[in-house]
Formats: sequence, structure tokens, C-alpha cells
Amino acid sequence: MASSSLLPHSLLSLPTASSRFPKSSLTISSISFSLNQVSITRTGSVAFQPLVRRGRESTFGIARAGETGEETPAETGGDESTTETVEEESSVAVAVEEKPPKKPIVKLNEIIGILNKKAIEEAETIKVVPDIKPGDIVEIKKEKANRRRLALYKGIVISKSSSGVHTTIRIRYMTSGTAVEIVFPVYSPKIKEIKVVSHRDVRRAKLYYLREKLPRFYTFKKK
Amino acid sequence: MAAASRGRALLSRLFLFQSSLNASPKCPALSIYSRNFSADPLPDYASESGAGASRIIEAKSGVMAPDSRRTGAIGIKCGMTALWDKWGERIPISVLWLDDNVVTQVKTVEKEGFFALQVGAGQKKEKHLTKPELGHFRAMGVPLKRKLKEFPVTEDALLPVGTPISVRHFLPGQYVDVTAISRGKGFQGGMKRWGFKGMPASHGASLSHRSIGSTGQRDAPGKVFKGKKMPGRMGGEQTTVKNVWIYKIEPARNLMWVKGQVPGPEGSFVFIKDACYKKPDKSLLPFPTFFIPDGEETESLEPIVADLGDNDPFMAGD
Repeated sequence: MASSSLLPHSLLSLPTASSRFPKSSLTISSISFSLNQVSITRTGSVAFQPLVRRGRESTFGIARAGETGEETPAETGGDESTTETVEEESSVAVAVEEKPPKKPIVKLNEIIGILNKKAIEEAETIKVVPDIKPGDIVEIKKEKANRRRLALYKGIVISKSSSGVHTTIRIRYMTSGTAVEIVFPVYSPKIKEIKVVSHRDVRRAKLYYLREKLPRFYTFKKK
Repeated sequence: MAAASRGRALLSRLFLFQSSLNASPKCPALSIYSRNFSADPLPDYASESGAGASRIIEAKSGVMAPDSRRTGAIGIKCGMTALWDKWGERIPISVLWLDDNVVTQVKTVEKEGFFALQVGAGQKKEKHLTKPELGHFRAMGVPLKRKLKEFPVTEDALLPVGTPISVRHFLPGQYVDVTAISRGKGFQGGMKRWGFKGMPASHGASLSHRSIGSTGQRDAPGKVFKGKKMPGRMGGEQTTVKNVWIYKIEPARNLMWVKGQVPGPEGSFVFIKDACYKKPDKSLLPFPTFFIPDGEETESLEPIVADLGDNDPFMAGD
């Protein structure tokens, strides 16, 4: 089953049955290692609990916990058992450290976000999209049908709707006595240039109140 | 199940016995008949009688006949977005993820009476499955799946158990029918559920702006007909959206971009089949499914986009 395998070059990795089984078996084997240690070392010592707890928390912590636990009650038990357990711990530590770090599993609700990021990266190669906020006065150059000269729109951004690659901004401007509002998808390939000319301080995210205001607030001269 | 098959087998033996009385007696029939009353395990009647020899299904590509039907696949709806194609036209997109589709059971005429393939998708832990479900997967020797769905096929489209069905089973540019359980809308009125027009908002209409109005005639028939469209629970039932166009396919992650809407909420299972109305070109589809050729690295494959032709739709003057 070659489907949905791990990708080498990105963090994205979709869970597979094959990738899950070895992971679970590895954790089980690590727990069994710690249990083996416990059975060999002397019971009833203070070191018993820290050994077991450390083993369950992280596989890399087994060796360190075992060594610190062994040093404190050195009177009880013989030196042979101490050296045995230290050797086992070191061998276990080596075996455990060789395990590669866990690759992050991608959840289903993150897939669309990842795909949108990729699509935005592709769209950024056509043009660099600046950071746009409501209240910015922008100039947009858009390609028209039949690939004639680019049309220029200059207006104030009255709203921004963020939706990944389909982020849109709403521009309001006045042309020949008519107020016009246009919605532009920011990452569309037909929009060749977006430039923030200036900014007006506003205290709103959506400037729909401009519709009731005087036209001079959304009239801009095109040079 | 075993008892029923034994009953059928017994009946078939009785018929054979009758025929053996009329025609020349067949030694195997008599020996089988005598063995019915022993403690020995039931013999394999199918192989001994010679009819319906065990079917061998091979995983190799074939030619699609005009009346062939191939399997579908199970996908998970990831969400919706919008993309722009190479001409700059905006396409609304639903993203479907074909997560580890594997053939889990083959149904044939000899045993079940029809030809079908049961496909499983997703992964499931052993502790989350009931014992009958677990036994089914163990008996077939397939990994534990989250969703099973049966797709009726023709005899030439059968696949062996364990065959993976990747997203390359479908072609970008083909049309598919997508079936899923739609979003539940709860208890809804006539206007939303059935598209009734309602009543005027003013001009004296009293307390009935969104009601369903009259429900029938008078004394004849004196009742409301069954099936009268009335308010009730809407949604949450199986719906099929037909002729959905596949825009893009990514074999590395088993993702499929389709145009438009697909029933159901995000995270729900959808069942994808070849369209029945806008039929795809039979010679281009991988039949019975797409088998990964040796030496091909699926991870390094680029996404495949549908062929949009050479004519720019925005160049109207030409």
C-alpha cells in the first residue's frame, strides 16, 4: 500500500497503517526494557519508582534515571548487579537513541490550511502581495479580457475577507459621479500588481459606514 | 450462514441423486451422499462436483468493454477552497482525500450471487472494532479499516483482496458521481425543505407568511395524501451529486480536487464512482484499476491537472 506515505522533504505526513504499527511496537519494547531493569535491580529500594516513571515518560531518559538511581543506595545489593544494570541501561540507551524522532502527524482539519499555504506560495511567484489592512488606499492593476492593457483601480480598502488563497479585499472608489465597490481576490493570477499608496487611520475592520458618508472620503485622483 | 449453505448443498445432492437414478449412477455423488451422516467435516462440494471451480482473480490491467463497470473509491471530504486554472478562470474546489483504499472482499456469483468489490478506507485500532468486524478483517488478511463500502462491478473488473486503489484510479478531466450523507439541517419548514413560496409579507396575510397553506381538497377525498410535502427533518440522508468534474490529482498524497460542491460536512466519507451520465472515455481509464508500475516513486510525482485545451476562453475576439 504505497498510498499516503511519508514525504521526505516537508513536515507533512499523513498517517498510514504501516507507519503506526512500528511506532507502537517500539514504545512497547522500550517499556519492556525498563521493566527488565526493574526486575534485575533490587526491589524495595528508593530507586525503584523513579526508574519506572522515567521509563514511561521518555525513552531517552531511561539511562540517566537509572544511573542516578543506582548511585544513591549503593550499600544494599552487590556491585555485580549495579554494573549489570548500568551496562544494560547503556545498551538500552544506545538502542533507544537510534530511533529517529517522531514525524508530526497531519490532522484532517489541517490539510486545507497546508494546501492553501502551498497555493499562496505559488501565487506569490506572479506578484508580491503586500500586507493589506482596511483603511489602506491601494492601486490595483488587473488584466482585462483579450489581454489588452492593464486596468488600474485606485480606492480605499473597506473590508478584507481572509480565506487562504481566496483572500479578497473590497475596494471602494468614485468614478465619474458613480460610487463603485469591487471585490478583488488578492492571489488571483489576473491581478498583476497591488501597491499600498497610503493609509488612513480607521478604528474599524469593516468600513461600511463610508457608504453613507460624503463622496470626498472615497474619491482618489489617479496620476 | 453455514447451516443455509449446508441446506443448499444437501438439496443439490438430492437433485444429483435423482438424476443419478434416472441416468447412469455417478460414484462420487453416492459417496458424498453417504458421507453426510458421518462426523467427518463437510467436503468441498464446489470443487468435487466440478462446477464453479474456485475463481482466480489476477491483479493485471485489461481492456474495458462497453458495458464494463469498475470500482469506485472511498474518500474523505477535507474542505472547500477556490483555485485559478491556467487561463485565470476561477474554479470552486472541494478537496477529497482517498486514504489507504484497499479491496477488502470480493463478492462473486458463485457465493453471493453477484459481482462486487468491498473497499475499505482509513485505519482503525483493534480495540475500537467489534469482534465480528475484527474477524472479517483477519479472515481476509487486510489491515483494519475505518469504513467499508461495496461497489457493484462487472466480472472483468474484479480485483484480488488487498489491492490498493490509489487516486490515479481516476483521471483528471473525467466526471464522477459523488455520494455522501448530506449535512443535517434539523427540523425545517416547507419553504426551506421543499422550496414553497410562502405567502405575502403584507396585504393582510395573517400569521401565515411561511406556512405551507392548504394540504388538500375537501370531502372528496377527505384526507391528506401520503407523501404530502410538509415540514420535517431535512438533510442527514444519502445524496448523490452527479457529473462532478475532477480538476486535479495528487498521487503523492492521494488527494483529489473536484469542482463544485460535494455533500456532507468536512471529515465525512464520500463514495466516488464513474459518472453514469457524462461517461468518461473508456480507452483512457485505467481498468480495472491503476497498478503502480515498477520503479515508479509515487512521492516524487507532481500533481496532474486536467487538460483545459488550447483556447483561452478570455480571448473572445479571436
